[in-house]
Amino acid sequence: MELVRTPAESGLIDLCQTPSIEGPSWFTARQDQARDEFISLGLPHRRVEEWKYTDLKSGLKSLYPKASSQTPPSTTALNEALGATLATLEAHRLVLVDGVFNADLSDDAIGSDVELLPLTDGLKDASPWLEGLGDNLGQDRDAIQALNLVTMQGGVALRLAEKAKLDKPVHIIFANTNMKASSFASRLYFDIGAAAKVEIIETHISLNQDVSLQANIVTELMIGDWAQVSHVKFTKDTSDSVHLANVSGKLGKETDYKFFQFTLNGGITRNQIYMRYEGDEAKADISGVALLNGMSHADMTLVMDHDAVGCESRELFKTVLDGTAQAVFQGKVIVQPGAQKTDGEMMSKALLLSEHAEFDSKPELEIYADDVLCGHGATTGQIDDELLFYLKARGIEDAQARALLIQAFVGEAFELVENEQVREMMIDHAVAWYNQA
Amino acid sequence: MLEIKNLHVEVEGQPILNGIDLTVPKGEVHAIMGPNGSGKSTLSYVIAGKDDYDITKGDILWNGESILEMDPAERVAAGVFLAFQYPIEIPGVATMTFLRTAINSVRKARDEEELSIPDMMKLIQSQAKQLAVKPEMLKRGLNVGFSGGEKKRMEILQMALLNPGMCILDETDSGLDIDALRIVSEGVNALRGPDRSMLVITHYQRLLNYIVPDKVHVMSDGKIVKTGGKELALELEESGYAEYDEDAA
Ligand SMILES: Nc1ncnc2c1ncn2[C@@H]1O[C@H](COP(=O)(O)OP(=O)(O)OP(=O)(O)O)[C@@H](O)[C@H]1O
Ligand SMILES: [Mg+2]
Repeated sequence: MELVRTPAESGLIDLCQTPSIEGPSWFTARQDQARDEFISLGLPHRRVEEWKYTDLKSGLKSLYPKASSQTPPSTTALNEALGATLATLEAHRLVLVDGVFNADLSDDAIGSDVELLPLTDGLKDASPWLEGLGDNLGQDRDAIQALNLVTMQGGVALRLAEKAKLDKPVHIIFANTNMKASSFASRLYFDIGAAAKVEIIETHISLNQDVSLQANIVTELMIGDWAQVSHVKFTKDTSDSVHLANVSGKLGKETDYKFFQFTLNGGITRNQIYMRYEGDEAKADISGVALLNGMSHADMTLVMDHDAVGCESRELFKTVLDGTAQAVFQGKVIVQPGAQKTDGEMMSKALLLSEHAEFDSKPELEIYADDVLCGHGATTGQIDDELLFYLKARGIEDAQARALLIQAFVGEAFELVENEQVREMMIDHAVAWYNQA
Repeated sequence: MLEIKNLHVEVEGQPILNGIDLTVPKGEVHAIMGPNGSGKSTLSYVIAGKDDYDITKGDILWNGESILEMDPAERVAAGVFLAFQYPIEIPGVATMTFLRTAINSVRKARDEEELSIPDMMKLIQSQAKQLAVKPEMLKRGLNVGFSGGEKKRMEILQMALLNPGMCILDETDSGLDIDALRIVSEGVNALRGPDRSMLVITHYQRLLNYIVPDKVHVMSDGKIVKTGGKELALELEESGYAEYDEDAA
């Protein structure tokens, strides 16, 4: 059957014809393949199982023009857009202006055992450690992952040597400088050596307030044995934005990966996470908070693929919905044959502040081993009137009492953010949100 | 002065309070006793402003003004405070944060200056000490994992901190051991004064040995059926409620 193309889809197919990044033959071969994949798949829609609740074919009304990097912002302008806490964050900065790495705004000296490559340069030189790039850990690409591979304008790759320990976190800033709504695709690639340790803070900001974006960001993490990686991501897009993110990670033996996503409003947001446990006794903690109002739609789709012995996955998500917002949580735990002693626990809780808000949850277990411990749960609730009355009976007025209860609901998740400055910044944003709810 | 006038209250069409008349003058302490289910907690909730109840008749006046249209937080600001029979656990709300928010909310509503954090800490810690509330409890989630007695002491701590003119204590003594009963009673007695009225709901005359009431009321089937002096509590301890129970009569 001939696909009916939406205008956005046709625009994306046009974009696919001229990739922005050149590379060695293995890379162009992957791009060619990805182009065919996108053309045959088209934008994901509700009849694609994994995209049942997030229909991009109907959601992506029109394609914004490709971001064209104007004059890069000054550091002052960048700091202003970051806000006080993030601007003063003790961290090594890596700045991507409209999806393309900007060396002038970034720290050049991250550490002697760290190699940094803007993706364009890296691909021209064809550094051998980049060879996993775009391979999607050997998994079939979905349409959005394929699209990213062909249309990515830039990105950054970071390689940490064995036992590398950074003195500060790495702050990756996606800064949009366009005055008008625009789209970009970008990619992060991490090759983390055995027993290395890194803290990644990823933020997305607009230099011009309220500019809408369509972003497609892929993050690939190759995590060596015993390495420890913490990755915190914060988005606060406009209601006309589309943020599509894929994070996939390969976990070596006894690795420890932590990911935290904080979504504040936005238009359509999808964070799709794929973790593959390749080494025994690896651990991954995937968690987050989403505060959604208006017509925001946020989708968190996780696949924890256990293919080693004695691994652990923990997921905790808290979502608060107001207005006609919709949140989607799809969490799948796969336990491959032989992945004995897997310990997987998933929990996603939603608090509905409005009767028009919606929370869709789809937990799945696919277990092919017998000695495993896997559980999942999802709850949807409203503010408890008894608790509310108790607070009011202590002189706390209604709005503030509600804010306290929302804070109490999400607090447990924010606790998982280890960086105190970042956690406080998130809580400040959250408190401002509760007070408006 | 608290005046309850011919108060009729229903829940889902079911009458619970059937014409309560009760006045607690300024500076007096009154006790309410009565069998289980007679409507004591309902009365206290209605005074505090819980909205699950239909007030079909009557009025509640505090210092001459009806409080029925006020929301619960406004009633607290006006000086009416209820210590709950069953304090609620609120995980995720740190006790200290909660106390600070409550104190400053009430101060703001009363046009008093908000307290700075150090002043606030000093105030809370000194009151907590008097009521033998361990500093460690202030760090935990509100009432989370507190023992029954600890929860009751926390209620009295809040009462002391919010400086109400009308204290309603709903079975504050139940669940307290002998020492805690003495500590809590001392805390309550310390709050007694010419400007403060109290309504103490209890099943046990023992509490009234510590907090000696000016008057004792007996409530049965949603009505005040007898009022007397402190000796009435002793009589009840002897004879029970049989003579007030319509069904038994
Ligand atoms: N929300 C409600 N819905 C239905 N019935 C209620 C509700 N609240 C109270 N009641 C009923 O009203 C009556 C009075 O209850 P209340 O809790 O006021 O009694 P009490 O005098 O405080 O009893 P106790 O001494 O056991 O504390 C009881 O029969 C109770 O079941
Ligand atoms: Mg009661």
